[in-house]
Amino acid sequence: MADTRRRFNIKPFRAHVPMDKTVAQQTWGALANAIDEIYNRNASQLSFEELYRNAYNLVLHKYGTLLYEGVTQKLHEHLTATAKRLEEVPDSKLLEEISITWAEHQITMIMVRDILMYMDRTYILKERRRPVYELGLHLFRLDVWEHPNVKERASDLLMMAVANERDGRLTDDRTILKQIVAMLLELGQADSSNVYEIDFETPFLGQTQDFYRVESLSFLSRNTATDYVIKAIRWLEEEKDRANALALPLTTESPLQAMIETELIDRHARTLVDMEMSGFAALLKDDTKLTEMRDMYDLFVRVPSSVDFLREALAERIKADGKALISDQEKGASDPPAFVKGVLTMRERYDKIVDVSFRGEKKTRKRMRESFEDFLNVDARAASCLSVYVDELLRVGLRGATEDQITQELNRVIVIFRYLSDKDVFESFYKQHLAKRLLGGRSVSDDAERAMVSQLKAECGYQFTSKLEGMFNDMRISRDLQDSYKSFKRNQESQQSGETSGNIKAVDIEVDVLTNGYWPSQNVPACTLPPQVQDAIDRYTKYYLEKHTGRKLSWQTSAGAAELKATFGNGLENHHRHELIVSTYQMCILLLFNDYDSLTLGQIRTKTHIPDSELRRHLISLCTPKHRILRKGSRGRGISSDDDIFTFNAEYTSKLKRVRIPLVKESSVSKGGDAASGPASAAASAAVSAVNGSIPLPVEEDRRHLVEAAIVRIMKARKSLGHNDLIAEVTRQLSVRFNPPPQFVKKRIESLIEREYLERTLDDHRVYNYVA
Amino acid sequence: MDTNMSDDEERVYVKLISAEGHEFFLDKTVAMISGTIKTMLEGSFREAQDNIIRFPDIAGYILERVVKYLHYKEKYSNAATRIPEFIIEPEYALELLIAAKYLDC
Repeated sequence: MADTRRRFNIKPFRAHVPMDKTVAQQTWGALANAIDEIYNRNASQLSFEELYRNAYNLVLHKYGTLLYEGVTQKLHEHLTATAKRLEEVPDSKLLEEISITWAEHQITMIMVRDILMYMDRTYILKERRRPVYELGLHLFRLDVWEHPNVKERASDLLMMAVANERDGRLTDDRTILKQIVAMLLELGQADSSNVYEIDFETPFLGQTQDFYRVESLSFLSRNTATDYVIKAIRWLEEEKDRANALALPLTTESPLQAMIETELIDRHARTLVDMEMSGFAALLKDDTKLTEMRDMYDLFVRVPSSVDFLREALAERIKADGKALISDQEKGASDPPAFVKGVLTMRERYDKIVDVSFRGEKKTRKRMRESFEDFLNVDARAASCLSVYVDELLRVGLRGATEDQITQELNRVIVIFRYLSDKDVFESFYKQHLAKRLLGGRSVSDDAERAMVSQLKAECGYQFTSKLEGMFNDMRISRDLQDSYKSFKRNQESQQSGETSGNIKAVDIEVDVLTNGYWPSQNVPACTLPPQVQDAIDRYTKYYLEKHTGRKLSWQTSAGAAELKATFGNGLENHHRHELIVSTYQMCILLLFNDYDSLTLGQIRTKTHIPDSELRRHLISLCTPKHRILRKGSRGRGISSDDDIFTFNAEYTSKLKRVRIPLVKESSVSKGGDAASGPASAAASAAVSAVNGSIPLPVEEDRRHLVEAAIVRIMKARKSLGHNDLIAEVTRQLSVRFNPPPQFVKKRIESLIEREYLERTLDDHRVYNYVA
Repeated sequence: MDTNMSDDEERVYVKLISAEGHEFFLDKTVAMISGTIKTMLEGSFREAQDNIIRFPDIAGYILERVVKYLHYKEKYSNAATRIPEFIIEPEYALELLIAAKYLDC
């Protein structure tokens, strides 16, 4: 810093000579000439330093304004001359000339700015005037571009050039166009005049919109949808290319893209989907068109809202296919397993479509799931069909399958199971089928059964499958019991070796003990059994009750099978024996004929106490043409009256030694139809009625109880709840098993109110209170 | 003395001439630290062609100090070491200031 010890003088600056006006004018004159020279591209002759110094001096001596005004005037003169020149230029060369002029002007302005840099730094900042370079641009815009003759022609030429390109006539104009666009951008920026937006962007966007609107319409009317998709994608690419080539700013590019997409896609989305033969809806029917659909999807995805149309089409298709499947099944053209297989194939097909054509989009997948659920849950039909299908699998279909195959098959079943909303209907049917399989020993593989149950457990929880597991348990325990009973009997017999039990021959029985709650109940009073059988039963009962005191056994005579040894032939000739495998009731009937040769219907009924409809069914099955063990008195298929006489047919023959006598189907009893085709369907033809969409009565009742229990449980926890909230809660909790309709829940609520489990609050009768 | 370009190092020298005629040789890169000089040498005027710049308004002793400063700045820009002070004699301070404004450095 300054050394205060040493006195010093600041040398006076060179005597400040105020510049007087004439000197100033001269200095300015020199500069003006220089600018002229620069314009004439003679700059290399000049000394920068001298000019710079001149400008510096002018500003220093407070002649800044003179300088600035002078420069402005000079530039203005030159630019007007340029504009005049451009006026003369013919259209074909105009854009090119403008571009060249613009480039030259830029160079000139840079040089002028350099000379006047001192002014830029000081005077302009102080006086807040337009800097020199921007001044140059501003004047260019005003004098050259805005010249009426220039601007109009240039604009038109620009638009024409773009239109030409679109028509496919690629010209060299691209570079010139690019330069002009850049020029407009810079001009606009220099003086914030939006020249670019007004003179280029707006007409450009407008023209583009018109072009694509017309083109897309005409193309679509003449070509297929798939072709249109390809063309549209190409157009979009072209435009993107062009925007890049012309270096359009982003502010133009994004509205441009959006607008083209609207014109090409949004406007025609509906048409593209609906078009015959090649529209999306039509493509869905064809399995080979996955790539075409995917291309269409790729196009639509640019305008996300239009993909809705595609999803709609998919949902419609699924619904239509589903309806077709259902009506097939209704008309009886296909049986339940075929229906399920149809659904499975359908599902796999649409899965693939979603994966490939929709690129696995989540929304579409969800939509597909909803569509499937919609048509499957139209009524409870799907649940019963599915249960029949599973029954068939486990009885026959999975015979000899490997573990992997089993898992795969069951997985597919579970997939459909998930779509069902009436899961409890399925459960009740499944239980019935399972009971028959277990009791009849018809299950193809124990492992498969257990695999199925564990899958169900994984889906719906323990509660769902507890009864089923109970059934398995019962079977296991029965088998153990059976073994121990056998050894017990053997011990007994060896002890009583000498003793004969009268003239009643001992009959071998196999007993399955079922816990009442688990199995589907059939409360039928026992019929009168033949004495031998009754004896064996009594002995077993005694044995069992000794083991488990306090229990009660009730014998289900409506189920069960028996093996009879029957001798046919009249006396000496044709003496042949057969072993007949029959149901319990049939056994009772046949053994009567040991003592009687012929009986009427009424007599048989009184002697056996078999319920009438079952009696008829079993009798008819014993006199069908295939298995005519008894001969029926009346003509025709059905049983005429109580007095119809049945006689033992000694002439019965059969090729097999062991003959299984099947039961006729329930429905054919009244019509008197033929016996069922084979032993395998004996199980199927029984209890489960023809598959229809109604909900079986026990399930209906169960639902009532479940809903009421849910309501009470919820109210107990919440104490007080509004009507809508309560319904929502109940629906949510029960959704695992089935979907209760709100009306149904409402009725249950009313019923509970009557029974004083709930009450309505006094002030707001939509709110319920729990009554302890 | 004209500009010379040594072939092995590609160094371009410029000549600055003061009011009294003193000539100073500088590395071009060093000279370009001054904004005004930079513009002069990059433009398309006469100075750029022969790399000679005349300053008829700047005295020799001022120009000398300016050149010193340019070297000083070039040496210590982005330096990690401790930067020594650039000494300005108070009697030249004013003129130096004016020149600095003129030369934009």
